Amino acid sequence: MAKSKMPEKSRQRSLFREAMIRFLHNPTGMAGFIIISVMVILSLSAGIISGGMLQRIVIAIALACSPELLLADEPTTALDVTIQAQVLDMMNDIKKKMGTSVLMITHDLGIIAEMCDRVAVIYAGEIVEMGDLEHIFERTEHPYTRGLFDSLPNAVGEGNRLKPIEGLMPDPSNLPQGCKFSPRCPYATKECLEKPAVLTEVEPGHFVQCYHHGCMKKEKSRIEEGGDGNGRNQRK
Amino acid sequence: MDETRENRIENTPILEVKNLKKYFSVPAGLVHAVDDISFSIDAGRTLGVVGESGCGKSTLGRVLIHLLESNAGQILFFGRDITHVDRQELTTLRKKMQMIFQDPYSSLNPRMSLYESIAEPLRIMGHDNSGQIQEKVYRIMDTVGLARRLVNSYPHELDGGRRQRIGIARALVIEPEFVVCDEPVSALDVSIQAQILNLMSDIQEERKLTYIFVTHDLSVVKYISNDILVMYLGQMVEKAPAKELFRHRLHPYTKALLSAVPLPDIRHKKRRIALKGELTSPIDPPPGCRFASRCPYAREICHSKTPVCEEVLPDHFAACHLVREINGLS
Repeated sequence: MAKSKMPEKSRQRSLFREAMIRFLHNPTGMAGFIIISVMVILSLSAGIISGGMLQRIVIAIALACSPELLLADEPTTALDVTIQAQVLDMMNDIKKKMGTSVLMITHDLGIIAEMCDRVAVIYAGEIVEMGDLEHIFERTEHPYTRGLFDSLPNAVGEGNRLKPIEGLMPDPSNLPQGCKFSPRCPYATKECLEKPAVLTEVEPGHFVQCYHHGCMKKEKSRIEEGGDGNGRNQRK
Repeated sequence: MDETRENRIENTPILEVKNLKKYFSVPAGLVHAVDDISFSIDAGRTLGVVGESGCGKSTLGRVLIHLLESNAGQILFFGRDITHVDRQELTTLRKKMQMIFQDPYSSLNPRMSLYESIAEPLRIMGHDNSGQIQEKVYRIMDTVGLARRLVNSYPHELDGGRRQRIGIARALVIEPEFVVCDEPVSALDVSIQAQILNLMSDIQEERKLTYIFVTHDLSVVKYISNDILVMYLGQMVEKAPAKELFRHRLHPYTKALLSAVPLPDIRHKKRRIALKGELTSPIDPPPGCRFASRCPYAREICHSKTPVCEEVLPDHFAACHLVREINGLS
């Protein structure tokens, strides 16, 4: 067989391109999967693959056998914002075209707003709130979820301080007796510290694990009527 | 170099950078890490430097602090040229300019206790009265919110937020005027981030500090900065006051960058500007705009002539041949 006269990098690139095209035409083919893996390894050593490209290939490999469920664990955390945008668009596209369900693990509320239909909020190993996108973003019921939204820099107006959640995550080997979030919760009462609440449905499809799940709604309407006592609406 | 605050001329910016360049020589060629950057900052303000990986923002921070030597250009501190300093001048300079590092897990010596880590800068600067050192260490610990009972703890016993507070304490214990913060909250959880940002903001106000805040996180930079500088592949593409930049983004890269950030808002679905392709190489870049290959507006001139960063709107600078046309300005 005649040896290719092309320089090493271009030869790799064209082989890679060929494999990708074959793979795209036959996504379930084992041959395609193997070729891609080999090309990834060769390309990594040639340095022509970037983080974003690599992540897209990893997603392609995960979808090679047309799975019904895709588990994505912080899939864009290490990527630049513009590359993240490309990857998220690609995932949304795949969801539509292949009907794949996605379990997305992330800390980024912006990504959740863009990609997700339902959300489960976890604290110290338990689901504390779960519901549709609208339930979680518009009618937050759990103080921890509220705390997460409030601690974002986008949450404050100009000149105001950020609102972090006080304290730290509990030590997993020494968890609090009652509700695991109670030591940090601004609404905690005696019963919260003694016994954890049970996950309850507060509206169709929306579940919360908290004795005081109605309290933030009351506070919200008080604020909307005209400023609250702790200076939240005042400038620094 | 021994001037005091009183000797300084009114209204001189605390830092002026003129045509700064930093190149690295690699087997493949010359990496243009920082390429012709110019800006100035007034005392007490925060300049946010944003960009994606490889844009040179961390390198810029390190060059300003003299962790790296620049290859060309000038750095002026209150009007004095500090571009190249000898060892003695550098020690004096370090009393005024400090750095907070990104990774609270690797930037602390694991064999030094909290007390020793914070006392170290004082010892290096020549303080030898242990009573005085102790007083300063305790005072800065109070300022950054580290409980006194932690004095003998080691980094591995503490969480990321506390470790970052040690990093901040180390930078501030010798009372500098100017601090380069290299992604100081990127390694922290969102709610710890908020605690640290509040802290840094309070300290800045109390001590009239000037910050250069390097980050890739656009919501953080919007919150903490007075002015923002956007970098792409070593070059400055846009600079403006923070609010102004978010309101009127002029450069095509800034437009794409700001539109790419997913917002935690389900009511306003925005349209993203999709960028084609990947970053071009910073090694021996050809003339012309470095963003041209990915730019949706690029024309012939963009590929051949390097744009100059100029004032397009009051106090708002951008480096783009087509900036006025794209934004409907005269």
